[in-house]
Amino acid sequence: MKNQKNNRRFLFALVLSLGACKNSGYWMDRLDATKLSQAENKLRFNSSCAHVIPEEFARSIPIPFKIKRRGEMGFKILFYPAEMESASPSMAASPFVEGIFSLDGSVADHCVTTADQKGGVLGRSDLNRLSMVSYYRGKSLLYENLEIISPLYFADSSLQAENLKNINAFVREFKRVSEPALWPDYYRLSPDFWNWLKQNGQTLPQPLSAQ
Amino acid sequence: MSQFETLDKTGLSLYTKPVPLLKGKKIIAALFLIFLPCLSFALSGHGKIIWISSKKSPCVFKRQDGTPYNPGIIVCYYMRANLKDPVSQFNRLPTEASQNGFLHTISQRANVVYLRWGKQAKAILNWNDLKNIPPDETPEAKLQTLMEMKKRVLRDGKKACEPFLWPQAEGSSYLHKTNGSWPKTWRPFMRPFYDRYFLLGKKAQELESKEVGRSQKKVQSLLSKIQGFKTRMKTGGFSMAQGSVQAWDSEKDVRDAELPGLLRHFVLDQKSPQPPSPHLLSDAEYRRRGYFNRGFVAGMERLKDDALLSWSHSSGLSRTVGDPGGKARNIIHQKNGACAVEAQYEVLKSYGQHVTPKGLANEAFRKGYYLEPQLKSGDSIAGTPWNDVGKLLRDHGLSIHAFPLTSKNATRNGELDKAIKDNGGALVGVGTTRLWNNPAYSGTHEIFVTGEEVSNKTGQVLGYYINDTGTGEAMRFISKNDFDRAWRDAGYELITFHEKSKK
Repeated sequence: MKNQKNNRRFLFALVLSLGACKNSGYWMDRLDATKLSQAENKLRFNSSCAHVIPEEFARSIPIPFKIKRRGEMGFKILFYPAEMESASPSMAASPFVEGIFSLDGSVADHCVTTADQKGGVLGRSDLNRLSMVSYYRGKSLLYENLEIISPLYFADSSLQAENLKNINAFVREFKRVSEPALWPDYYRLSPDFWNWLKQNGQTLPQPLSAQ
Repeated sequence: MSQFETLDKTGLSLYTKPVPLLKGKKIIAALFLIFLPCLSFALSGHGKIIWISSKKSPCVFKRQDGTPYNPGIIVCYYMRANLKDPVSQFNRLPTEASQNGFLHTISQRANVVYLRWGKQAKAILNWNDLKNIPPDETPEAKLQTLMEMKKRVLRDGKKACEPFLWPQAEGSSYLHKTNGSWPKTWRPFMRPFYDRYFLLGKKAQELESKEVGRSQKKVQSLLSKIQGFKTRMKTGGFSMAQGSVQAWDSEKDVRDAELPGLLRHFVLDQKSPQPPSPHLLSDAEYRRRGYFNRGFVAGMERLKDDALLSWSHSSGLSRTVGDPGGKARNIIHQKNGACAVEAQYEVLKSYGQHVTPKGLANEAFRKGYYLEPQLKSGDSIAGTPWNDVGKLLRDHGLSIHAFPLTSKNATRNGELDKAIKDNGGALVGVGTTRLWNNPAYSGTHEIFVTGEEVSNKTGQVLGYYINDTGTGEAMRFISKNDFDRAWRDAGYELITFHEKSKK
């Protein structure tokens, strides 16, 4: 009897744990369902972006920014060259194009070519240590949490306990799935956002907590 | 402190230090120093050594009187790799004695480094020896180890050879007509590593061919079983319907006989065209289509997909629309970020146009469709802005239509399906992370969709055939779900094309 009970418990646990396993496709679909991801995709076809962003460029994670006096609140994103041939190690070079978009229309979507067109190669991509599942899981959680915390940052609201969970998740996933070589650029995009995170008790990596 | 700085301080500067203004007894010493070159010239009878360097023969040394001088190739290469502008620095040295002294210092250092290179080379070659692969390992594990060894032997070999490697390897660029190849001057030092690399590659190819052969056998036996099953079904149906024994006489008669049509549409659809079977290719064709270009696991996945497709075709469950096999002939492995240019090259070739990848890249650059900015590091990273993808096709006489398709699935996939059906393919933008299953590759990428697999029963698209210049893979089958996810990552970019006369 006891053995049968144990077996049943084991099978139940097995079913539960198998149910919890999600493949990378599940996380891709979840990522693509976020408004941020959809807006990013749309940006590439904007008239000011389509002729400056080469097809082969990679896309960074969007970072929220705000300019209070102009009432502008939106996201900045970087487009940067990444070595494409699969035979060679993947390299990321410094960004060439900065994209700006918003979810509520407070800023017109547009792209700006950065001054330093001849950027240096930033080195081997650090993402090859991740599996597809953990990469897309991390990325979808990052986008979902960013969608929750960005309005709080835009509104300068005081944080509630439940939001702290979202901020922790955002910072954790950002450290995991972002390209370390681009961290100084992420800081440059919106120092105000990183300082806001720091004020809310987040420990950021050195290039993000600089200045 | 860099190697150059170390050398410059201890080596060259020793002989080029300016003589300060001197007084008293020191004047005698100074005079001695001034006359020393003349003295040494008189004693040697040859004069200064001159380093004559040309692209063809970079290490030619001659005395002033024309007699040859040989400091040794190791010393010369060592200077080349470690000193800034070594030829003019060497030729500036005032006397043969100072030049000899300098060469002596350098050769001592070069010899130490050369001995170290020898030890390291031995260790690297031992570590990456075929003997180290256990014979009882699975073919997959063996191939994985071989691939790792191949990477390792070049990486570590290059590191060991660094003090002698000059100039830097050139980048790969269509515009600069460079191939990413290594300079000839690397050969004396890199040769043992190259040789090992090619040996490992040959072994890996042998293993791949074995796997391909094994897979072919499996597919053939499966197909013959299906054929047998089909024949039994037909003969059974025939005898039941006609009450005749004619069908049992020969297999050929049975196949050619007019069947009542009951069973024909039950399990198999005889009317569906039998597409070229991907599993009956030669070894060279497998290699040309780049089955294992993304690694062993991806190669085996492709073989499995092929087997499944062959089974599906033979059973009449699905058919191929388009001519992916024919278009696989135009596959090339791109240089740099020229995927959009290369995908257009494949399209133009499929229309029978005489174009070359290099010619098209230069044309696109001239017209501003293709950027190849040189980075500070010397590498160049290229790309085609989204607005300009397809313009080469237009300039070469095709009508194009570019869609950033954010509309409903039915319309989006409908446009692609229509393009494949009517014009034999379309250009599509996809996310590389999803296409290549690797988070390290995060760009977008242009591929040529050359065909699709359609269910005979429902008419639904099961997947697509693609030519991917990024990996050099041709006629890769990718399931519809995976394809849609990769396509979505690039905002559903689609370029359709057709000949101008055709609407």
